[in-house]
Amino acid sequence: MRISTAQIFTRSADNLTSTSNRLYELQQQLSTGKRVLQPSDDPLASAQILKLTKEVEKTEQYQDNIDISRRRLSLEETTLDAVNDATLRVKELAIQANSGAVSDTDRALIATELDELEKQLFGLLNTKDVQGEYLFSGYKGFDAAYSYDGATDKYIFNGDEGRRSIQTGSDTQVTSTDSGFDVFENVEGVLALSPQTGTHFSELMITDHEAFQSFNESRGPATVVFSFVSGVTRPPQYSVIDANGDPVFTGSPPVELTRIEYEQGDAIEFEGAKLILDDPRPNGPVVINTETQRTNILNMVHGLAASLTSIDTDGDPQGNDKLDQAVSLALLQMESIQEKNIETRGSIGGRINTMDAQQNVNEEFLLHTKDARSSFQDLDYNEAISQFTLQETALNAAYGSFAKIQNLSLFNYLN
Amino acid sequence: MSSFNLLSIGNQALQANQSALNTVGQNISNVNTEGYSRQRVDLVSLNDRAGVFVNDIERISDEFMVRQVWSDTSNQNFYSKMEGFANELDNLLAAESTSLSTAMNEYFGALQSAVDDPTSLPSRQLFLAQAQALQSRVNSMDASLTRQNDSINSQIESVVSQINSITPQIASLNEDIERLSASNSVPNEMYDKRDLLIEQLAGFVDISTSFDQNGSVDIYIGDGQPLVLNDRGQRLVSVQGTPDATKNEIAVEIGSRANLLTDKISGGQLGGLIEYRESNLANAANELGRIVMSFSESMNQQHALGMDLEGDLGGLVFRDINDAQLMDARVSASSLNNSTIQQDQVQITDVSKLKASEYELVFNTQNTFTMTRESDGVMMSQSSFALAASATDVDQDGEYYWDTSTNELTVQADGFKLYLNAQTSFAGGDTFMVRPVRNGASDFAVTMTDPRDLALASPLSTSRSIDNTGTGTIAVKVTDVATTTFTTASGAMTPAIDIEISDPGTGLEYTVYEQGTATVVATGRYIAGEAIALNGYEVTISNNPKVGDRFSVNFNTGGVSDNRNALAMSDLQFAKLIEGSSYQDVYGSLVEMVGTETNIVQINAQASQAVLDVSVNQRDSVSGVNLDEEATKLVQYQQAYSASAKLVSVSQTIFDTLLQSI
Repeated sequence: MRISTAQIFTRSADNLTSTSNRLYELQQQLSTGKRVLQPSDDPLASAQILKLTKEVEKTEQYQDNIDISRRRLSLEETTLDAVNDATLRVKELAIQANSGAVSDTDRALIATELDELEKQLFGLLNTKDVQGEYLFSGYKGFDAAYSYDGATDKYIFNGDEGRRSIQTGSDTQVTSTDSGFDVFENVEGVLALSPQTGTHFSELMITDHEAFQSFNESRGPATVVFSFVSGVTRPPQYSVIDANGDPVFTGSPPVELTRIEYEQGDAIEFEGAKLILDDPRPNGPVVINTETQRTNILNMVHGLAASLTSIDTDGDPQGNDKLDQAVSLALLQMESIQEKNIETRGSIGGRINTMDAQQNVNEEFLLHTKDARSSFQDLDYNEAISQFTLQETALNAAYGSFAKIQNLSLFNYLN
Repeated sequence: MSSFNLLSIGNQALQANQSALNTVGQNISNVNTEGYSRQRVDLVSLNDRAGVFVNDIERISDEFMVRQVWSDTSNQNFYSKMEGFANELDNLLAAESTSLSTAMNEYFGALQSAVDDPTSLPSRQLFLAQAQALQSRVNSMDASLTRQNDSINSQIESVVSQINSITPQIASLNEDIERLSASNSVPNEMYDKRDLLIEQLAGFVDISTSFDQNGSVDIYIGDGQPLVLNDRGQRLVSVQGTPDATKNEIAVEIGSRANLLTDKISGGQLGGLIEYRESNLANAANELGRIVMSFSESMNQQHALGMDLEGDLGGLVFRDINDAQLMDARVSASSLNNSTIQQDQVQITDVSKLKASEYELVFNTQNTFTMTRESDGVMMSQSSFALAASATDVDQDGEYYWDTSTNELTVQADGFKLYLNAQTSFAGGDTFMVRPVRNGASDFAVTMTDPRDLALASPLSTSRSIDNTGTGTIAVKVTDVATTTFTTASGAMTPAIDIEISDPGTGLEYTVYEQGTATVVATGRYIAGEAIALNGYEVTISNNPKVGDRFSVNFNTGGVSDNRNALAMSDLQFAKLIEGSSYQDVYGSLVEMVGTETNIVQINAQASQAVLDVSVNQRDSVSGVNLDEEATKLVQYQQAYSASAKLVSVSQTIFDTLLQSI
C-alpha cells in the first residue's frame, strides 16, 4: 500500500499516544495499588466493591458497638460487685447485732455503720456512666434510679423496665443495659403477716422467717380457733390448725397447740410466728393471712438500721423478739437480694462471653470480606509491573523507531 | 517538416515539464496541508510528432473513500463526545471522595454511635454532622449532573454556531464550483476545501450527501432535512426546550419556522451530546433522585415514630419530599399548550413504587390522555386507568379522576399522584413533563438543626407487674403517630393501657383496659408472640404468662436512654425499600450500570477511532503526498526539463548550422 508522508507522522504520533496512555494507566494502578480505578474498568467488580465496603464498615461498627457495650457491662458488673460486698457487710452486722452479747448502745453503733453502708449503696445504685446516664434507670437515663421519699420513709425506684439493645452482628443484638427494676426491685418476695380485718393484734410478727415460710408453703395458712366453755367464766381456749385442719405443734419437744388456755396478752407462737391479741375474749377463728413483701436493698438496710436503733432489749419485754424478727427478716431479704445480684452478674458475664464470641465471628467475617474485596479491587503487582515494563519497552521502541524513520528521506540523498 | 518543429517541441516539453515540476512543488509544499489531495499532471503526446501538452492537472481522490471518512468521522465524534461525559460521570459515582455509598456508610456509622449512647449530645451532633455531609455529597453530585447538562446545552449552542459557519462556506463553494465548471476551470483546491468542510461538518452532526452533475453537493441532516442545497445553506438553531426548559433542542430554520429535529440526530458531536443526555445522564439523575427520595422519606417516616430528648414526637430529619414547593416543581407544561395551567403538582404516594424515570403526559384529544414512561417507553393510555369516584378516591396506582367541569385531572401511577388543573379545558396536543424523581437529589436537605430533636427513643414504654407469676414479656411498636393515642395530648398516651391475662376455661385470653379503669379496649385469645394491633401501635406479649399477670403500656416519659427507634432507623440501611433492594445496593447497581455504559462507550470510541483511522489511511494512501515519491518525480521531471532545454539548444544549433551554410 502507498503511504503518504503525513500518514507516517500521524500514525507514529497515534502509536506514541496510545502506548503512553496505557503506561500512564498502569502507573496509576501501581501508585494506588488498585486494579479498578473507575467503575468502567470493571463494572461488576465496582458494584461488588461498594457492597463489600459497606459490609466491612458495618462490621467494624459492630466491633465498636461490642467494645462500648463491654465497657458498659463491665461497669455494671463492678458496681454490682460493690453492691454485693456491701450486702455481705450488712449481713455480718445483722448477725452481730442479734447476738446476745450486744447491748443497745452497741447496736446503735452497728446502726451507724449501716447508715454509712446505706449511703454507699444509694450511691452505687445511682451510678452514672461516662455520659452522665444513670446506669440502672432503664430508659429514664436522666432520672436518678433511686430517691428517698421522706413521706413514706422509703427509697423509691424512679426508672422503668427499659433495657437497651445494641447491634453486635448483622442478625444479633445484645442487651447492653439492665434496669434497676430487674436487678434490685424484682427480687423474690418475703412472706409477711397481714393484719386481719376485725381482729386487733398488739403483736403480729415472724420471729423465724425461714421456719414460717417453709410451714406456710407446705401447710399454710394457719388458723387460730378460739373456743369457750359455755356458762363458765373459765378463760377461753385456742387451737392452731393448718389449712387441712391438722393440729400445729410448737416448741421442742413439740407441744400440740390444741385447746391451750388463753389469757389476754398471751403470745401465741408457732412455726416462727408470734401473735398477741389485744382482745380479752376473741371470738371465732382467726385466719393467719400472709402476703409477699418485696423490698430493695436500700429499704432493707434502712429498715434494719431503724429497727436496731429503735428496739430496746433492756426495757421492752418484746424487745428480743422484735430484734429476732427484724434480723431474720433482713437476712431472708438479703438472701433473695444476693441471689438476684448473682443472677444478674451471671447474665452480664454471659452477655460479655456472647459478645466475645461474636467479636471473633465478626473478625473472621471481616477477614473474609476484606479478602473478597481485595480480590476485586486490588492490583496484582507482579502482573502489573511486568505489564509496565513491557509497555515501557514498547514506548522506548516507538521512540527509537520514530527517530530512525523521521531521518529517512530521499531528499537527504539528492544533491 | 520544419526544423522549427523541434524548437516548438522543445518549447512544449519545457512548458509541460515546468508544469509537472510546479505540480511536484505544489504537492511538496502541501505535504502537511489538511485536506489536500495530491495532484498529478496528465501529459498527452501530440499526434504526428508534434510534442506534448498538459491535458489536465488531475486531483487524485477517491470519492467513495472520502464519503467513508465522513461517515466514520460522524461515528467517531459521536462516541468520543459521549466518552468524555461518561468518564466524568463514572468517576463521580465511584470515587471515594464523591461516592454516595461512602457517605451513607458514614451516616449509618454515626447513627450506630447514637444507638450506643442515645443520651450523648456529641453522638447526636456527630449524627447530624454526617447527615449534613451526606446532604452536601448528594447536592454536589446533583450539581455535577446539572453542570453536565449545562455543559451539554452550551456545547450544543457552540456546535450549532460552528455548523452555521460551515454551511454558508459550503454553499458558496458549491456556487463557485458550479459557475467555474461551465468553463471547465475549477481549481482542484476548491474541491479539497469543500471536502474538508464537509468532513468538519460530519464531525459535528451526521449527514447524508448527494452530488449533482454540475459538481455541487447537497447536504441533508436528520430524516432528510436539507442543510445545504446548491448555493443555499440552512441555519440550525438551538432553542430552549419545552416542556422541559432545562434542555436545549436543535431545530432547522425553514423560513421563519423552526422544525425540531433533536430526536432525529444520531451521529456526530451533536448526536453524542443528545444521546448522552437522553440516556446516560437522565438515567443516572433519575436513579440518584429515586435513591435519595426513598432514603429521606423512609428515614423521616421512621423518625416520626420516635421520641426526642425532650419527650416530643419525632419531627423531620430531612426536607419533606411532599412539601408544596417540591410537588409543584415536578411537573411542567409545554409553552405550546392551548390550555393554561392554574395548578399542577406531583405528590409522592409511595416511594417504594417509584421508577427512575420521567413521564410525558399528552392529551390525544380534548377527552383522552396518554402517559408515557420514558425509561422503557411504556405507554399508559387512559383506558388502562380505572376511573375513581372522585379526586380524593384516587388513592391507588392505576386510578384516575377527571372533572371536565373544573378541568381537573388526577392520575396515580408508579407511586406518584399527578394533579393538573387548567383554566380552560385541555386540548389535544397539550403536553406535560412529569418528573417525580429527577430533582430528588437537588431537593435533598437536612432540616433538623438541634441534636436534641433526634427521636432515638420510642414514645411508648412497657412494664409488667412485679407480682406476675408467669414468664411473659411485653414489647410495643409504634406504627402511626397520627392517631388519637398520640394526638390527644402531647407527651402522653391517650389512653395508657393495662393488659390482663385471664382464662375463661378455654385457654389464655388477654384483655386490654384503659389504664386504671374497667373500660375494655380490646380482648382476644392469647397467642405467644402475636402482635395485638391497637390504635397506632402494636403490642406483643411473648413467652408464658399466667392467669392474673398484668402488663402496662405507658408514654415513655423521661425515656432518654431508649434507643429502640434509633435501632429501627439503623435497620433501614439493610431494608429492601427500592424494588426489593436496599439504598446502597441500588446505588451499587447504578454504579454498575454507569460503569457498563461507560465501558461500552469507551470500547465504541476506540473501535470507531480504529475504523476512522483505517478509512483515513485508505483515503490518505490514495490522496496523500509522499515526499519520496515527489523526490523521484522531481528528479524525473528535472531531467526531462534538462533534456527539453537541450532540444531547444539543439534546434538553435541546427538553425545556426543552417544559417552558416548559407
